[in-house]
Order: sequence, then structure tokens, then C-alpha cells
Amino acid sequence: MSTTTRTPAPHKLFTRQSSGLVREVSVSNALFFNTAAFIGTGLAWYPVFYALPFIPVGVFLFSTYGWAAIIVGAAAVLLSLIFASLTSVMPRSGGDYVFTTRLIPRVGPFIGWLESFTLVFSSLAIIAFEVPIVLRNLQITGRIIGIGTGASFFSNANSWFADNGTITGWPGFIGALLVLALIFWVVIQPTRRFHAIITTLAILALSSGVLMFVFGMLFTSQSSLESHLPSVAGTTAAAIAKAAQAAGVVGNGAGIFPISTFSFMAGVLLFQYIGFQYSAYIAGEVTGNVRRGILIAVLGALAIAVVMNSVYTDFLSERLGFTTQLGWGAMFWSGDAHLPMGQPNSLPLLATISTSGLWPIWAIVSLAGTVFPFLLCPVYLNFISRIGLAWSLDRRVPEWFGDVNERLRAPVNAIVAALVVAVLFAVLQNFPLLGWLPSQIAPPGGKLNLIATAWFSLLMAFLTWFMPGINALVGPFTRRDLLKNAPSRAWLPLFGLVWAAFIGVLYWFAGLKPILDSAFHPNGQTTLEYLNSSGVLMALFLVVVAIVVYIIMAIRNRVAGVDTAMMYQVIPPE
Amino acid sequence: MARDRVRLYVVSDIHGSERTWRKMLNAARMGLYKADAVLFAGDLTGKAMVPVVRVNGGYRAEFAGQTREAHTDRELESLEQDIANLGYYALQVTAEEAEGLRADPAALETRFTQEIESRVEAWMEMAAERMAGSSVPIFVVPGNDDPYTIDPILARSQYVRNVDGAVVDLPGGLQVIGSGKSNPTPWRTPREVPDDEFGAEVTRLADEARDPRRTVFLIHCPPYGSGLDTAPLLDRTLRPTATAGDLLRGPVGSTGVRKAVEEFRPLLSLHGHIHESGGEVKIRQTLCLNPGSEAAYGILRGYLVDVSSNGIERAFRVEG
Repeated sequence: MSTTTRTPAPHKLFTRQSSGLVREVSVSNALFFNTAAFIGTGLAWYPVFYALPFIPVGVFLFSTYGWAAIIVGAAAVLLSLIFASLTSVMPRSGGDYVFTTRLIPRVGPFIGWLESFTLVFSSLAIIAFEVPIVLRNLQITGRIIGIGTGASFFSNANSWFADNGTITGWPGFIGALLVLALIFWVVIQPTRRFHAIITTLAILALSSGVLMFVFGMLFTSQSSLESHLPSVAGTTAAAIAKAAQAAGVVGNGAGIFPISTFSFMAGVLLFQYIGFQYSAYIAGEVTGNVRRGILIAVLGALAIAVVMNSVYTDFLSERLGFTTQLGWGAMFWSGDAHLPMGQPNSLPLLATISTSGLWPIWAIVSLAGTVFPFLLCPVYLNFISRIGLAWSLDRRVPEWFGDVNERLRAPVNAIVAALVVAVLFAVLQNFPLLGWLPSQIAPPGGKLNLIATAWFSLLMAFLTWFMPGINALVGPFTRRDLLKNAPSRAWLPLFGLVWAAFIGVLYWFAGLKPILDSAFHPNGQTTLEYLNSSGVLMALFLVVVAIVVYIIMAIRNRVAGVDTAMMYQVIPPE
Repeated sequence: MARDRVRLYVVSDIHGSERTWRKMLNAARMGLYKADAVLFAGDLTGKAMVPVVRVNGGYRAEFAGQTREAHTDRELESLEQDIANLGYYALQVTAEEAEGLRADPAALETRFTQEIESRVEAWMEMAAERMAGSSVPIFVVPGNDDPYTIDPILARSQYVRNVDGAVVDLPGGLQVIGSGKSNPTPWRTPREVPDDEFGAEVTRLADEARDPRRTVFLIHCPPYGSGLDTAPLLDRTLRPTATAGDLLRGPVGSTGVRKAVEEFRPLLSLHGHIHESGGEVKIRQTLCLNPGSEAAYGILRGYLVDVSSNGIERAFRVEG
């Protein structure tokens, strides 16, 4: 006989006790999963990104970067609501791949595949971006200890994992392999233990962010930094300011207008934020009320992202000298041979120059700054593997790809495949293996470089940002049966429209228009050279690969007699 | 496509979800999957009643994390339909009646049974009405969550055939043997039996089948250790157990079913029961399937299995 449980309120359910879905990812796990997914190198490096778009950056209450963080964050609230609503009615792992394939009629399966395939390679490029940064942050931590203790081993930390002062070649590759091996160890832990590791380390790293903010605001100053720069870094604030002027990154006011220029900064913020929504990609594993869980996790991570990229970054930068941050960052991104200390303007490094007596605090922060870019990688591999699992279930890739290992309860083949691609990226970053390509399409020096991978990653992520808007716009009409009781259902089309328009404008000004302008009116480059150096060629190449794989799998399924159109055909519910 | 090929559409564990029941009927009636027969692997009935409480001339109910109100007949009908679509039973009561039911487990149990029987009865009528003239038979077994009181209702059905404890012919020269029982669970559900007794019943039924290679097992409970039966392991208070920071999960299927599958080696073994363990696995030559369940979200999960004279040609997941 079934039994009943007693609950106090008259409106509560009368339940029969029985088994049901028991999931393994708590709301706090999901929150820190998202946080670890987006912060990456930011804890120590956010000010470095001021100069990445090479546009004038000014200050009015917040910097242009800070305003971009706030504006993109405000718009991203809509994305959070869209994900919370859709995951509450389709609580699957696979995220927007699942939504696009199910909500968009006819072309949904193809667009969903393209969207998720480009997201996966965008994410792998970000891993390729972060792994050398883990090594570089170890160098910076060494330099901080070197400044504090004077020990030559640490003072020479720039030589760690480096070949002629650069993290590349065999030392860089071996370092990258060590990091990737550690990443692999974390990512193959059983789900619950994996999330315990991520949550614990993310809390520790965020606590270090609080430490940086409090001690940075209390004990560092621009004057102290500038007075110590010559002795510690062998340069002056004036020289760095001159570099900022030369790079054209010094601006006035908030810098929100013109939109066409501001969009570049907003694009950088999208790059910084990508990942805050990734708990939606593991929704099939989130415990309890999925809607509430995803909403808390996504909005919570977004709030952390906005605060870290605006208040945290701008206040500390002002404290240490805003123009110094701009110039130092511009020198880093442009590969200036006179880059102070041979390192980017990491916050704890600058704090050490300003107030060397607190070097143990800054070393801890810098080490935390090493943890976050490391943490990002297993988080990415985890959600990539869940997309791989969703692909496999839909026969978009061979079935073995998504096989779930019984012991680890994770799709190990998908994880290994993603890791292999990450290793391949590491190889291509460290060895000039692409030098054999024709000069028009070979990367500079025959190696992948950080700026190209960051830009490439942003381009590849377009559908990931854009399609949730389209799904929210059309889903309530195309799949009434599934979305009938979706939270905020009546508002979903409006949310979707506004979000899609926001992303459309941003990508037009920061992506498509510059590409079209430069491709057809190249400045000293052929069109092909421009497309190659901007990462567009690589993005197009992978889109072609995605289409080819899609066609091959369609043929394979047809030969096997599997009609994939049936796999998520809408069944009339009434 | 070979003429001797039959396509089986396998679903399971819809747990009272009206929407998914309708979808299942529509998929069969409209030939969306070109299926020749539908096989339902158990657990028809829902697990919860939602009190729709009369307040201030209207009605209020809390379910799926929302508070819903109805002030007109049409709104009330829509509210009750939404509750039914999730697999719950709407119960129109006053606040006092709701409290009364909470205080009287026996009365609550009686009400549950009435609601369950009423919905199964309605579903059987719906099947007869919608499938009239269709050539796609529907074979079902109950599941461990289904009270025995629904068996007479299934027996009276003019279209749906309950194959629990029987050996029945399927299209394509196949036979199906059915069982809605399960080995013991922590919840002491209606159709639990000791595992050896369960295995003996399955073996007895299998012995009545003509040819193992043309026989389909339709057994709610999956074989032990098949991967189709992986669930969180519970402690005495029915809470998931954890060790070293990891949730303990393990096989909870039937050793009796496993033994029967290994010994009899049927062509196909179809199961449900563990919603989160949907998938496919081979035990010796037998393909074993569990479609899993997302019925609470209105998603009907299933498998299509194509069988020809040469055996199983293909099996693939579908959802709608």
C-alpha cells in the first residue's frame, strides 16, 4: 500500500512516498560552478582587460569597462530569466543545445548542433587561453615572493616554464601538460566529489578576492606604486602613461557613446561573463526545485560577475592609478618588448610594488588568481562532456561518445575527447607547427596566440549568446505543450526579443561590421591575411567542420535506418 | 523496409501524467512513429494529490513551485488540467476538509485510490475512443506503484491489453510476457514480491513462450546490475547515503529478472521503474531497454525498436 506524509499547510501536496529523480548538484554547487566558469583569470587580471579592445577608456563614476560590466550584466538578467524558465520545463543536461533542437521547428536540430559545436570549440579555446595563464600566474606569484624575500629563485620566476622569457616551447608545453593532467584528475572525479572540489576552491579563491579588495583599498596607493616602480620594475609611471597614450586607450567620461566603439568593450565583457549561465547546461543534475536552483545560481553568479568587473576592478585600479593600468595592459596585449617586469598588470603584483611589506597577503591573492583560471578548465570540460552526452543521445555523434562510465558516472569518452583537443591547442601554442601553412593563413610565428584565441572564442560564441533569445521568442508558440506552465511564459518572447536585439547590436558593431570593413578594405593586409589574423578564418573552418560532421552523421543514421526527424518530433498533446 | 519488420514503441512510467498519456495515444493513432504496437512498461498512476482549496469564492492550489488561483469555472478547469498534466490528482476541498484528510491517513488513502481508479478508468475510455479503428495495439503492464485495484479497470478496457502475468502474441510473430511486479523497495509499494519469487514467476512465464528469440519481456523492474537500475542508495530514513563526499549509487533491480534474462535469453527485455536510468544495454544476446521518464514535465520518452525475422535491426530513443 502507498503511504502518505503529513505537511502543515492546507495547500501543500498530499504525497505518496515513492522513488523519483534524485540529483547530485546542489544550488550552491551550481552557483560556484558558474562562478568558477566565468572568473578565470579575472581575480588578479581584470584591469589587464581594460586595454584589450584598444579603444579609449575613461572614467565617470565607473570606467568604460565598469559601465560595460554593468550594462551587459543588466541585459544578461534577461538571459538568466530565459534559462531559468526553459530549464524548469526541460531540466536536461545539454543546455541551449536541448532548447534549440526542441523549440525551433525544422532547422532547430542543425542550428542546435552548430550552436553547441561552436560553443564547445569556443570553450576549448578559452581553456587554451587559461592554461598558459595558470603558468604565468605562478610566475607572478614567484615574482611577488621574490620582491618580498629577495630570494633569487623567486626573483627569476619569469624563467619558470619559459623558453627565452616566453611561456612556450618544451618548458611551456610540459607546464601545460602538468596543468592539463591536474585538470583531468579533477574532471574525472565522481560528480558529487567534483562539485565539492570546485565549490571549496571557488570559495577560497573568492575569499582571496575579498582579501585583495580590503587590503588593496586600505594599504596600497598610487603614489607608493609610482615611487617604487623604478626600483622594482625598472620603469616609471610616466613611461607607462606614454604607452597608454600611444596605444590610444586613454579616454574621457563613461565612454558609452558611440555605441559602435563601446560595443568592443561590451564584447570583452561578454568574454569575461561567458560561463555565468553554465549551470543551465547541467540542469539535469541540479537538485530540488530546478527553476529556483538555476535562477539563484545564474543570477548569483551574474551578480558576482558584475561586482567583480565593476566595483572590484575599478576601485582597485583607481587606487593604484588608472592610467598605469591602461598603459601596462596595452603593453601586455601588444606584446611590447618593454613590458614592465615582463608580466601583465596583475593586481597583487602591483600591490606588492606599492606595499611590499604585505607580500604574503599579495602572494596568497596571486595564488588564488592561479586557482581560478585552473578551476575554469575542469568546469568547462565538465559541461562540454554533458553537451557531448546530449549529442550522443540525439545521435549527432557516435553513441560511444556519450557512454557514461559506471564508476565515475560521467561521460568519460567525451571528457577525454575534449581534453585531447585542449592538448592539441597546447601543442599548437607552444610549437611552431603551423609554419608550413601558406603565409596568408599561418598564425604569427606558426603558433596560436592568446589574443587570437580570445577573439576567435568570442566569434565562435555568437550563437551561444544569440540563440537563447530566439528560443525564448519562438518557444512559447512552437512548443506550447512543453512551455505552457513555464515560469514567466508570457514574458518570454519579450525577454527573448530584447536579449537577441542586444546581442545582435553588440555583435554587429564589435564583430561583423569590423570584419566586413576590414576584410574588404584591409589596411596593409590581404583579405585572407586579415581574416586569418583576426581569428575569423579559424571560426569559419570550424563551422565547416561542424557542417561536415552533421552531414556525415545524417548519412550514417540514414544508412542505419534511424529517422532522426522522429527523435524529438512534436506529439500533439490534446 | 522489409515487409516482415515490425516497429515496437516502448514507453514507461508516466505516473498519472495526462498529457503524456494523450501524447502516447496520439503518437500511436497518428502513426507519428510508424509503430506497429505500443508496449507500456508500467507505473501508470500518479504519486500526489494537489488540494485545490476553496477560498473567498475561488480556488487556490500550490504545485510545481507556483501558487495558482481560479475564479471562474473555466479557470478551475484549466487549473485542474494543468495539475493532471503533471501527473497529480486535483482534489477540490475546503481548508477544513484538507486538514481533516491530513489528520486521517486512512481517509486520505481511500481518496487516493478513488482518484487513481477514476483516472485510469478515464484513460481506458480515452484509449478506446481515440484508438477506435486503429491497427496499433497497446500492451501494458502495471508497475510497482500501481495499486492492484486498477487491474479490473484494465481488464475491462476495450482497447488496452494488460499482459501482466500472461504470454500474449504480438505483431510480427513475436510474443510478449509481462510482469508489473518488482523486488522489494524502501517504500513498500503495492506490487513488491521477494526477488526469488519474482524470478520464479518470470521463469514460469518464459517457459510458456514458443521461442526465446521471438519473445519480448515486458517487465517493469529492470535486471539487477544492468545499468538500467542505477539509483541512489538510501539509508533507513529513506535519504540518499553519501561517503567521502560522494553520493552512493548502486543497482536496485531484480536478481530474479536478471537470472531469467540470462537463462532464457529473450530477443528483447523492456523495463522502466528507475526514471533516471534510461538507456540500453545488452545482457548476453538480449537487448534490454529502459526509456526513463520525464513525464512530470510533459515529455514523453520512449524507444523505437525495429524487429525483423533476423532479430533486432535497430533501437533508438525518441521523445515528444
